[in-house]
Formats: sequence, structure tokens, C-alpha cells
Amino acid sequence: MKLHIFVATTQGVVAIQNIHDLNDADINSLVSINGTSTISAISGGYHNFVKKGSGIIQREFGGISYRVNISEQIDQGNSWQLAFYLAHAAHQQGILGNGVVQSGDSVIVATGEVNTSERRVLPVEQVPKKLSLLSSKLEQWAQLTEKVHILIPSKNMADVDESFVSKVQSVDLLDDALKFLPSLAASRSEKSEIEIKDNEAVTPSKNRGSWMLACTLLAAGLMYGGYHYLSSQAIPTQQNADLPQTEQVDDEIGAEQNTAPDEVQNDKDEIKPEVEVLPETSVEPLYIAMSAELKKNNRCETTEKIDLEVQNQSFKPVLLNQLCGLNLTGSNGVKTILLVAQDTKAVRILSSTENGWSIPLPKSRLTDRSYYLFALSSKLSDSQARSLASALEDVPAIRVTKETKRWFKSLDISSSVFSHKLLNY
Amino acid sequence: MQPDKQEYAEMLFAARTGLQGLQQSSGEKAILMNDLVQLIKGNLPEPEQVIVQLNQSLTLRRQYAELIKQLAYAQSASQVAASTNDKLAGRETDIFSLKFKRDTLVESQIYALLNIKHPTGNQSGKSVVLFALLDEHAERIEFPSLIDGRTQQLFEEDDRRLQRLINPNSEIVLMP
Repeated sequence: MKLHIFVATTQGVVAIQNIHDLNDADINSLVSINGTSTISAISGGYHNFVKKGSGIIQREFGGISYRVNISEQIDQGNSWQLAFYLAHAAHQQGILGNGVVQSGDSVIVATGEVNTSERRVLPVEQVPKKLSLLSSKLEQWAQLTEKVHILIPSKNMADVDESFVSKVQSVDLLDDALKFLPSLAASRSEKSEIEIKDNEAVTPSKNRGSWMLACTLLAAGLMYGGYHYLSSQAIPTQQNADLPQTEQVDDEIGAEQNTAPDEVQNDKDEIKPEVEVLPETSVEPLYIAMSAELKKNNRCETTEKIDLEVQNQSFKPVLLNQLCGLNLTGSNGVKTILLVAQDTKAVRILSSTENGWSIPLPKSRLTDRSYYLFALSSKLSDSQARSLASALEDVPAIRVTKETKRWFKSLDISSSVFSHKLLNY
Repeated sequence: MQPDKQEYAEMLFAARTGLQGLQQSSGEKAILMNDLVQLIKGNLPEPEQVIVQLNQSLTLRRQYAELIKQLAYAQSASQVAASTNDKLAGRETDIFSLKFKRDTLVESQIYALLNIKHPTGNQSGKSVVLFALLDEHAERIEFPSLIDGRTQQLFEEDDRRLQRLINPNSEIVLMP
């Protein structure tokens, strides 16, 4: 199954056919037409889009320089950037198609400029015209696949004709767009098995038979043990933490902005549904539970405590403008909880309280804030945290969790990773 | 006051053209100095007519080549033939360097990589023009504007422009 990415232009759709890593610092990144020596007019812009500093591709996907082949000339502007970014993500996943859609493939058509610092998708011009030129292609693709997504900047939604409103998806952040990549969604379930191999909490399987038996016994125990991790009213103590329950979380909250500091940005849910099982060693499982203190009567003077449901290691998002506090509890094995911002990769050891740990709230509540939480089996010093931050500096955002887990592994520290998103609307 | 480079070139050209006019009679429109200058800069709206006349006249071609050199920003003389057996050998001067690399995806395509150490405003903002002078023929090759002092073009291996750039006997002239 391939993912074909197209740029919506005022001349029709342009397919991104392939991406080739030139791996040569002497050669600037370029865009060529159909594999010929004809260079697109956007080559210079693409080079700047790739390189560190002004660009984003090298920062997030690595590499030195690239050659991208497209099916038709794109003459000017920056509205190709969103599609190119997604193509690089697909290329990294090994699923980028060549523009010739086959049965069962996925398709993304995109238009949007990228703010490479904030990872935002900026509005572009002539969106109605670009959409109008899609019709015949949409009909053609509909014969082959249902998985067709048209992505436009959220600030262009007002420009969209009624006939297209139900067909397009608006995106505000790059992470919103990345969610449409099939592999990222699928890999969350696939990678759970791979993660078990990386996870320090799992025994390297010399003896798979007894390991599987342990899994089965644990699963059975958890299912029938009558655990209730968190009641709807009370935050559980650290000692009582175990598998989170599916609690209803009230997200219907109004709009107000408050303050609090933090360092987290943008959502790139790389977290997989890691199902940790008891190993044959004595390492205890590392589970955490989160509860939110939400405003009552739009003020934080009185609050309501809500346990946040977790699915595939990802806590249910919460609205920033209703949030007064976030608290964590952990299973007995959890000695430290580390917060890592998804975008800035800032690292912070959470302060522990008598009931667990608290998460400092963001200063700015104007954008969505996303972060990872690493539950660790050992204490971590400030200098170790700084060392980790330094190690993550050049790591593309999409590889943060994997590299962080590797880093802990090198220190013989077991870890479980969770993710969470705070929403600004 | 001594004439500057361009004025001197113009004087020479006018004198030669005048002499030519006296010696020959032709119904063709005379090529003016300005026509050649604009051809060099790529500004002629209809260059074909001038090019046709250039191709028909060795004298005109020599004048054209001389004008190119007079207006040049930098030059790289023809290489000593024995200095390289490498078909993709580049050029290196104090002002610019020209390298060639084969594409790893499409091996029949070759990058011409131009690096200018102290570029002019024109080279940074608009485009970069090289001339490859060989056998009284001047091949004009345009590169995109510089990024971080560098620009590049991609050619098919058998592209005449590339062949002239690579040819060690070519004189490479960089325009301002």
C-alpha cells in the first residue's frame, strides 16, 4: 500500500513522484520534472525548505540534500510546502507512492505554506480554484480507493465552496496533517510488539514460552482482578496506581485564557499502543495515571477533578482554557517522571508531591501543547536530564521517543512512555 | 579622461563595424554594439536574428567573444590539455569554482556546481551567466541565482552546454 502525495496548484494536481537523498553537501536540494534535467523554478525555495536554519526537512528527517521529482512544473509561491513536508514523512516511512494510484492506495492532496519555526500551516491563495481542478481526479481515484484526503490550511476554510466543505480537512499544525499518514496511525498498533523488544521492562526473550505465559497470567489477573485505578472523584495514591480505567472526560468547556509556564509544543503522536507485560526479572511495571483539575464556574478557585482516560499510551486531550492543574500517580515501580516537549524537546523532571507528581501548566495557551511523559524505574539527576536534552537536540522530532528510550536503556533505566496534548480551543 | 572598459569596447566595435560596412554591402540590418551587449545579458527580446548573423560571420563572433571577455567578472582560461584525464574535471579561480558531479539516481545527468566567492548583487538576486568560449563560438549558460554563494544546473550528459563547460579547451567566462 502506497501513499501518493499531490500538490494542489492552479494548473491542476502535481504528483510528487519520488524523493532521493543526494547525501552530498556540494549539491543543493532541487526539484526536477519527471526525472529529467529540467529544474523546477521552486528548487531554490525547496533548498531553503530543506536546510537547517530556514528549513524544516533536514531538522526533522535528517539527510543533507534531496532531489524531488514532480510530474509537472510548479512555477512560484510556497503553497507546495505542506505537500512536500508530508512527502518526506511518507518517504521516511517507506510508503511514498509515485503518483500512479493503484487500488487500495492512499492519497493526500495538499496545499499550504509552512511556518518552519512554529510548524504551522499558513493560508495560501486561490484555494477555490485549486479545489475546482481536483474534480476529475477525485472521480478517478474514487474508483480505486476510499482513502483520499484533501488538506488545506484551516484559515482557508472560509474560502471553500459549499460543494467541497465536506471533502476537505483543515489543518493548522503540521502534526494535524501528519495524522493523515496511514503508516503513523497503523504503526501505533504494529509497533507495540517492536517496542516490547526495546523496552527494558521486558526480558530479552531467551525463553519465549515462559514469557508468553507470564503475559497471559498477567492479562488474566488484570482483567479479573477487579482493579479500579482511579475513582471518578479521587486521585489515587502512588501506591494504588495500576491500569487506568476508561473514564469519561468532560471536554465541553468554554473559552478563556489563563497563564502558566511550560515548554511543550505540537502534536506528533509517535506513541504506540505499547502493551507492557511483566518480565521474568523483578522489574516492576511502569504505569502512570493522570487527572486534571478543571475550573468550576470558569475559575480555578473551585475545581473539579477528572481522571483522564488513556488509550494506546496516550491520555485524553484537555482544553487549556479550563485547566487548573494536572497530576500524575504511578505504579510502585515508577521513581521519576520526565516530561519531554514534543517540539522543542525541552526536558523536565517533574516535581513529586505527597500524592504523586504535578505537571506545570504552559505559560502560553495560544497553541496546542503536546508532550511525552517517561515513567522511569530509577531516580534521575538534573545533570542527567540536561545530558538527555543535549542528546535530543539534533534528533528529528519524529524520533524523540525512540532515541529517549535508547538513552535510558544505555543507563540501564527502564522506561514507559506516554503522551498527552493540551488543546487551545 | 580614459574610457572605461565598456566605452573602449564600444569604440573598438564601432570602428570595426564601420569598416566592415564599408567593405561589404548587405541588405541585413547591422548588428549594433548594444545588440551584442543585450545578447550577452540575455535581454534581447528576439535574439534569434542576432544569433543567425553571429553564426554567419566569423568576424562578428570574434567581436562577440572579445566583448564577452571585456565585460567579464572573472575568467578561467582553457586548461592545459595534459593537466587532466578526468572528463568531469572542474575549474578553480580566485573568484569562482566550477565542479561537476554525476547524479546518483540518473547517472546520465550531471550537475554543474558553481561557487562564487564574492558575488555581485546581480548574481545573488537574479541569475548567474557563464560563457564557454571554444573555437570562436560562445555558449551562454544561465544558472539560477545564488544561494549561500552557490548555484547549480543539471544537464544531460550529452547536452552541448555541458560539453562546452567540461571541455578543458574552453575558456570559461563569468559575467557580473
